Amino acid sequence: MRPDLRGGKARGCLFALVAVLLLTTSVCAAQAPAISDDPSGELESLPEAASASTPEEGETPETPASAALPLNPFFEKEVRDHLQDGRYRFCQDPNYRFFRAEKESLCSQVEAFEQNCPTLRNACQRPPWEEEFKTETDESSGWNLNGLGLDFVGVILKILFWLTMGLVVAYIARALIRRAQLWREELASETAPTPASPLKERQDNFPEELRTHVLLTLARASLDSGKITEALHLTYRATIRALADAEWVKPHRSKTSGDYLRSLRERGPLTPTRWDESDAPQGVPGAQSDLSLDRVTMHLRDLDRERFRGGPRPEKASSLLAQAEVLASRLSPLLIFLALLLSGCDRFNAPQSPHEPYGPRGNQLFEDLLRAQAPSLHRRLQRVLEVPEEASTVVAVGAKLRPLEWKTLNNWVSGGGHLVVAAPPSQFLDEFGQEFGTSPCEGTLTAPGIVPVKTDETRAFKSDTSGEILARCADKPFASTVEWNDGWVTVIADDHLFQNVSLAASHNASLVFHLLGNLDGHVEYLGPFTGRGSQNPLESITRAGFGWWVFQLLLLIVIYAWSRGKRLTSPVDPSGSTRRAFSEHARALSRMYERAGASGWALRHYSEWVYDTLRRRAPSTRSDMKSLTRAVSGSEQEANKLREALTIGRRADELGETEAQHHATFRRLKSAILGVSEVSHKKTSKKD
Amino acid sequence: MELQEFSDKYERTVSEVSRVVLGQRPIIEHALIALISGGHLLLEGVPGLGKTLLVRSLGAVLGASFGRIQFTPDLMPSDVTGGNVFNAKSSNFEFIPGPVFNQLVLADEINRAPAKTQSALLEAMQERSVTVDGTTRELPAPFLVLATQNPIESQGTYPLPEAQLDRFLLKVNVTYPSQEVEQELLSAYVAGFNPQKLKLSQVLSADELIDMQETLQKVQVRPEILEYITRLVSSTRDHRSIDVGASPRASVGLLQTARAHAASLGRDFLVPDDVKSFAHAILRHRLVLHPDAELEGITQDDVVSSILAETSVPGGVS
Repeated sequence: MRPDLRGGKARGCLFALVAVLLLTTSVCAAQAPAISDDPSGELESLPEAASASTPEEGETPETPASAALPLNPFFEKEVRDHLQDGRYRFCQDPNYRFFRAEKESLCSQVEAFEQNCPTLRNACQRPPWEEEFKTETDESSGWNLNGLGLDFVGVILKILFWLTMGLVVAYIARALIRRAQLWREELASETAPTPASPLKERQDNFPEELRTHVLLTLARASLDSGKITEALHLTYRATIRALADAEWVKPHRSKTSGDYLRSLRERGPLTPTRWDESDAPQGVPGAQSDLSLDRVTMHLRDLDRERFRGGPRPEKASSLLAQAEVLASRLSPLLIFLALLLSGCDRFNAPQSPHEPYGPRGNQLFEDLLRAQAPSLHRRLQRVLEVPEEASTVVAVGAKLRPLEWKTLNNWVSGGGHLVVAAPPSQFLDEFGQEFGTSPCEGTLTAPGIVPVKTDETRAFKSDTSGEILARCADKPFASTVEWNDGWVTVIADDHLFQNVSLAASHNASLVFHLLGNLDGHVEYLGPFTGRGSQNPLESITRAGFGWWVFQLLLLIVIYAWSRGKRLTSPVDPSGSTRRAFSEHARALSRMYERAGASGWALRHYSEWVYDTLRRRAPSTRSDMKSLTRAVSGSEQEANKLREALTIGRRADELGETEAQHHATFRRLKSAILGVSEVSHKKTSKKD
Repeated sequence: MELQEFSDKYERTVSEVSRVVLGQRPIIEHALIALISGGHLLLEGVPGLGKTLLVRSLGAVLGASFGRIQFTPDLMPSDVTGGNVFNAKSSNFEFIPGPVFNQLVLADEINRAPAKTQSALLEAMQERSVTVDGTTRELPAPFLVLATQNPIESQGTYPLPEAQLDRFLLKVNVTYPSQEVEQELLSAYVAGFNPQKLKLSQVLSADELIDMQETLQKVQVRPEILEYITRLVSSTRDHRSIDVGASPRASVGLLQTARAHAASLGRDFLVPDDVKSFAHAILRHRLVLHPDAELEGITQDDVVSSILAETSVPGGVS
């Protein structure tokens, strides 16, 4: 049976398709929102668009940037064009479902949005998600079990779910990478000799880690060419490769069949069996459908027998090759990935979060309109530690900035920039002043030259600001612009006007861009996404919540290094069980001192030892150094040199000599000791 | 002798000895392999692990004579080899053979005797003969010395020098049995087991043992296996942690023990597994570690393992 190379490629393509599908579903499942994702905890109703009418002529509000933008068809067309994007499902998908609170708020004003969202009425007629799943919303965890009060179970299930998804994605990614590597190798191996071409005898001509079917093909070719030994070796490698592909073994050039079998038996004892011709399987084991450990064992042993016993038999080699082909086909990884396919997730019925960029409460439409209006727009992800010089306007909608960033903006505005802030946070108020405090407002939003816009439960400033009022909510200022040193600050009381569903009414879009003023230069757009990117790796770690973990890990490493001791300054003795003899230990320690440059210290200790040893061994009745050195030396001159060496050596760490001088002293002392040993030995021999 | 018969006798011998020496099958196999390969065995381990019992049992199963030498610091060479003693009756010097004149010799705690006494035994192991007062006397065949030594951190020992260690074919580190095995041993004792009273059947004779040694020639060895053995041993000479590597004697020993292992399994050919099975036992006592490596806690076994992991086997994956 000849393996099909094309079949391998087809399987690979199918696997890639499946993997992409699974990854897509995984990513989409990862985006599955909590049922309620409103940060404010309460869905607010949307501003209502009033009927269209033209602004009064001649009335141009005096804003620092430009004249007021009257209602014009531009925004009507722009809004309609952008809303054609299928990602605005709430506007285009007739099967779209709202959440209950959102439905109640939005669908009461469906007439205002019908023009640009033709499917909205149908969507409003469908029951909300909560009724579909017959669960009550629970904003605390998003995973509530029918109100049974088992919220903690929901949290646990939520964690397990994401953990499982993560593992699946990681497994698929790893398999993809391995496949890519194998494909590259296969591409390289496609230039390998065809079955008809002659093959060399040595089996190490073949590149490393060829795929199983390639090895089997080459083995078949070798067999056909009469190179039995080579065919057997290739069959063996193919078998191991097939086992490795199924992740049953980890191949390595140093492993034998016994090693592989042991690992297959999970490192249990491998009982050697008798080698008997009658045990060998005959022919192709096609009738046997089981892939058992015993069969693999027998197969590998048969291969070893034929490979390492002289005179391999062609018919046996052919039989083994056929067995290997059967083995390889049984171990196909396709089955594994087909199983994964069954566990894929279904994207299309997942509810869309209202606050995702293209959801009703998202801001994608505002960004798209802003990009169309401004000459250039930059969606700022990094922290606002500086503002580009070319920026003329900074628009902040829902941005969660730090005090330092507001300060940066303050400095920039003071230098002549125009800052537009919607729903100013407390940090803004701290930096720019408390006069921009807000309170709820019910009424109609009005602006000079703009069609009034009715709203429910929006917010307005508590009192008149010091600047020019651009729009009012009832009688309270809703938006105003204030001169700020050399620049201008436009403050809008809340940001609901910037939401997708709000802008779906083109009049609202006109109002919003009226409030932004003249966008004639580069615009920096700040939003909830601003600051999510990190400026440096440390910030990235901190944001991920790994700061404390990394610190603990570093602490553990330091403690471990300290326990092991520093090699150069505090040598650590080996454990008692590994030390062979004191002399060898001393020798090893001396090498460490040498590396540490502690020759003086070592010489001092050595000199003390020499002096003590000479006193014990030398035949002298007096223990003073002069007598001692004279007793062990052959002449007065030698004795003087020895005395000098001992004196210098015993103070070696104080005298500041060089390492070479230390070595010279050491040699002199060593020869003195050896001389004493020789003398002692001669005297002992004489006694014998 | 046919290989099947070889394998059967091998298995029966091991099983018979295992009746007495419980839980030490690997040691028994190593001893038998050493015997068949014509070498000697060095055991390192604490007392109480059945070493004496092993050699005594092996002697009974093989029908071989057994001698035991307890090495002490005051042991003299003549206590090992024997010597001439004056017989007052016959007024002649008679040679009284020492315990080394046995087919199986247990040299207990060999590292407790001074170098001179150690040399006497080691010379006998190498030469298979003993020379006393100018007269050379052959030792019996087959001849196996099973030497034991205490773990090396003990005080008052005379470690065997590296050159002498090389004379041992295998070195085995004897460890305590597992808890399960020890419990089985106790259960056996509760059931009336008494190794001193247990009668062992003789499975092999000395002639059969010699025949088994000759049967090793029937085990075929491919050139790539020989190359593998050579590469393994020569790797020990270049290893960064080794001062002195293994000699060609180790290569020969590895070949012989691998052949004996293959024959014990009834195979007439060698596979790389046979070589790997005995690599540690053959090499661990022949390697002199670099002091730096020793200071880092690296052992000879670690070095052998790393060499095995770095050396490609013949016919393996690339």
